[in-house]
Amino acid sequence: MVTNRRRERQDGKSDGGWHFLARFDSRRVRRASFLIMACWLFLNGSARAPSQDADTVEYPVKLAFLYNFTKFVEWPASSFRDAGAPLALCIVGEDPFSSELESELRSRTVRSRPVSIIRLRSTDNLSTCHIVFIPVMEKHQAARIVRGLKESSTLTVGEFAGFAAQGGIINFVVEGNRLRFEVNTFNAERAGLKISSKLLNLAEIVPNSN
Amino acid sequence: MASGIGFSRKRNVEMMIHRAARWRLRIEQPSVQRQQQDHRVCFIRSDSGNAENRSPKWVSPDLARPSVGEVVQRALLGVMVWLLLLTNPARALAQNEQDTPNLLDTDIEDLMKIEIDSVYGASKFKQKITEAPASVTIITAEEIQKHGYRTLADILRNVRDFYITYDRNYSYVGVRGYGPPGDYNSRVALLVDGHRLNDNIFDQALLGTEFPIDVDLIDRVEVIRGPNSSLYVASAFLGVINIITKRGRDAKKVSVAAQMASYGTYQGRVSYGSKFKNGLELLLSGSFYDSHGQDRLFFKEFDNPATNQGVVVNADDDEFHQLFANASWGSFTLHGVFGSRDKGIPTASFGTVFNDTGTRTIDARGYLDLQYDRDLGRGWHLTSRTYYDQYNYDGTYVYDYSDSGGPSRVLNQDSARGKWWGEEVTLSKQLFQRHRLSVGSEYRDNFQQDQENYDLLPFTPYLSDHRSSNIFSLYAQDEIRLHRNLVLNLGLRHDHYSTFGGTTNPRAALIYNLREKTTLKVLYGQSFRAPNMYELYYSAPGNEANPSLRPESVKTTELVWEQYFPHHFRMTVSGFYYPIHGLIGERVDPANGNSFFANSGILDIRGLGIALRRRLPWGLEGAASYTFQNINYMNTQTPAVNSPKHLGHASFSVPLISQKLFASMDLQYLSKRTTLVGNYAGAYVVPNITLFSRNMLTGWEVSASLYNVFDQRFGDPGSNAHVQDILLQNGRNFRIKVGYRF
Repeated sequence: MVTNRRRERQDGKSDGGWHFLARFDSRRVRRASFLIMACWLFLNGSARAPSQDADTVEYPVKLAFLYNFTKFVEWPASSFRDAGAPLALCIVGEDPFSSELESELRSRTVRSRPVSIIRLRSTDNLSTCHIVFIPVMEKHQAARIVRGLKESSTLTVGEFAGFAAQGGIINFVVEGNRLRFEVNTFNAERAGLKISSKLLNLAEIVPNSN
Repeated sequence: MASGIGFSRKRNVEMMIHRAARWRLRIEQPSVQRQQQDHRVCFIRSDSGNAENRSPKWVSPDLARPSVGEVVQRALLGVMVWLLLLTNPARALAQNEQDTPNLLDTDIEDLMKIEIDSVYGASKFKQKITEAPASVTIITAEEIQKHGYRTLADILRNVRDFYITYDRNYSYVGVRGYGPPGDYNSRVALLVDGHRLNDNIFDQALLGTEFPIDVDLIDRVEVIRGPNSSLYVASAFLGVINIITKRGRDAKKVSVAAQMASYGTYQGRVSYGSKFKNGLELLLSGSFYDSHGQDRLFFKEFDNPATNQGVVVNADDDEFHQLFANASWGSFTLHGVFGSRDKGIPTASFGTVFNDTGTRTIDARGYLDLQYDRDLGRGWHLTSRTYYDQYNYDGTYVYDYSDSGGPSRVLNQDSARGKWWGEEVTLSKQLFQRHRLSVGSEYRDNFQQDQENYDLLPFTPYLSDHRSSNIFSLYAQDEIRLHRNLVLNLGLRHDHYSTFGGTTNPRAALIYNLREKTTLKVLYGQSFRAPNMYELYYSAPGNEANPSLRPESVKTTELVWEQYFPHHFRMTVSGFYYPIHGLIGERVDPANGNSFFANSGILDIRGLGIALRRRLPWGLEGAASYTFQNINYMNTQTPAVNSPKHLGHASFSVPLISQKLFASMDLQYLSKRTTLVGNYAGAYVVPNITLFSRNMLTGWEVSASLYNVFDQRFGDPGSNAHVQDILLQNGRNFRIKVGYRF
């Protein structure tokens, strides 16, 4: 029956009336392009670009997180040489952060201590670092690094599944397109670090597995 | 659903003859009168009454076809404008320096709101989009708000390679040029939090107002092109749409929202969410929607005195109510979803009486899903899911049998009842640093798959089909890190259907990451779609069952190149080739005119797409994409119906006041599409704009949207169920939405 109907309509010939749908009014198109142009000019005319300029948002945001962590974590005084000694942020392996944002961070102070950013290999001695960030590229080394830091007051930060549950202290996870972090409070206490409750409230608390 | 139902309506041969006669009447008349009627352009007489804008010149059919030059000019203009917008590097949009705080000064709660690209759906692990073994697009809650998307269909309309067709009952998604009218989205798997939403009779993905979840509750939508059935159940034939809903922690105690829109449309929502000290997380929400729809719709095919001169009055109404619950505690997460939608059908589809408000469909969909998610230690991770699902479809179709001496108004009831439960277990493990292995199995018991069709008064049964079936599946996937930046992803899935037996489908992906900036993916996948209950068993006079249908299959090859450029630009280029065998399509038996489904289509889809995106941390977003695709039927000469060769999307969003006021715009471009009888539904560009403000007054969210800003007249091809060859879509319309968080 359906075919009958279709045949009928084909016989009806030159259904040209519908072709007008194929067309939009050029005046409308012009109007549209003017509007878009106007928007562009308006938007373009004002203002300057933001300062961050990394290619993806992820690592700038992670570096900002690392900086924020320093405000909520208390290291034992013994982990610093003296009152003015810098807080050492160590990055293992290839540095994923932009040098621009890093130099911005170097100009900041944390509880009146300067921040120093140090790039190290996984085989270097990391025990004098206050924060050790292990990028995902170095995740095969993570277990060894964490074992080597058992005796020192170092905040270990990773960015791959299972890091906090397997000896690390803070781990970045991506959840719902946004960065969240896990904290292993047991490992933090063992390292002698005090993490403020504000940070813990925002975190997913994870225990050690096995 | 509805749908399907369709062809079969009334299958008594005599009646068909009478109906055919009526159709002939309706069809011939307009064709005779067409010459005089060309000045009548107001096919949709919307309440906004803009008929006077339409000068005769505008509709004159001889001016109808745009010249090639015009099209090229238009396309170039569009591309130029967007490139300007996107490429203007250092001095991008309206933002004062103070409004763009250095990231280091951003406090930690705000850092947690910044979006980066990740994906969950492609292989059930949370991973970065560039590492997913698929071509993926993500749409976030933020974008949904900023762009004023009203339904899931609105969201998908703006996804690269996707387009939406609406027949004033259901919304249908076309993927990469494949979207034959009357196909009930059975080739796309729709998942909500990993739970499959396609029903067990029509396999339909509900996308418009029939989608049972308020879009306000969506945290993000992950759209995966191509099959992914090595980790998902069947019918992920052309793509997977995975919706992640919000959780208790995302909702702040009580929130309410109210909307008012064109065509007498009102919508409301009340939600409660919280994360309690004892770890319990809860989100409860309820929504209602009531739309009067267009007062008057004009269909030229019915323009004669017997059918009210082609005018349908007050028959486009749409209502739904929905409930949503999400509770999690420890390793357990429970989702409960229920939605019921009631839609008036103004198109007189399936040969029903024209201008009768009694023809309508009700779709009710609900489920409970309990998930258990746990680290077992030593790298093992267990996920299990147990679910119970229900789907009810009730269609009422008004017929006139007076031509054959019967009553002049008979209600024909068409219904489907689906109930099923299932269990799924996935175990994954990190092995020797280099492997990430996951194995899983799923069992689904479709214990009710019933279809009925009968006339109410006098009671005349046509179909009473009661079925049940089950599916058992096993799958495995291994992600092997061959080298620091080279990942091989292998998957294999076996499904055993009680209806037709087993099928095994492999998948492989090779992903190469160069310094986080360049990603190359080579993707290969096989997939299949099992014939559904409707295709197998819907029989009634005029319609034959075909229990011997086999699954249809596709082997997809896709190359993807993702590149990050300085200044936050991302470019994606992809080329794809999908040969499809045994496509299940409707055929007509020449001997008796009965229609049935058969494995008959052999076709391939090939195409090339490019997308550019720019997203700055402080809120500017811009994107533009273009896809060229071609469907080639090997065994017939007919061009693919409802298949645009060119598809374009563009959108941008700019904060006018940082974090508080955003202006956004999106537009879709479709080239002309062939209709069932070989005409064209014309090319169109439809832009939509939205102003969205948040926390101008603490707790308030307000948005105002204008859709189809330039009142572009465009239509979608009708299906076999429609007399209309082209169904005109809504003109300019608006929505205002106000939300408050207590």
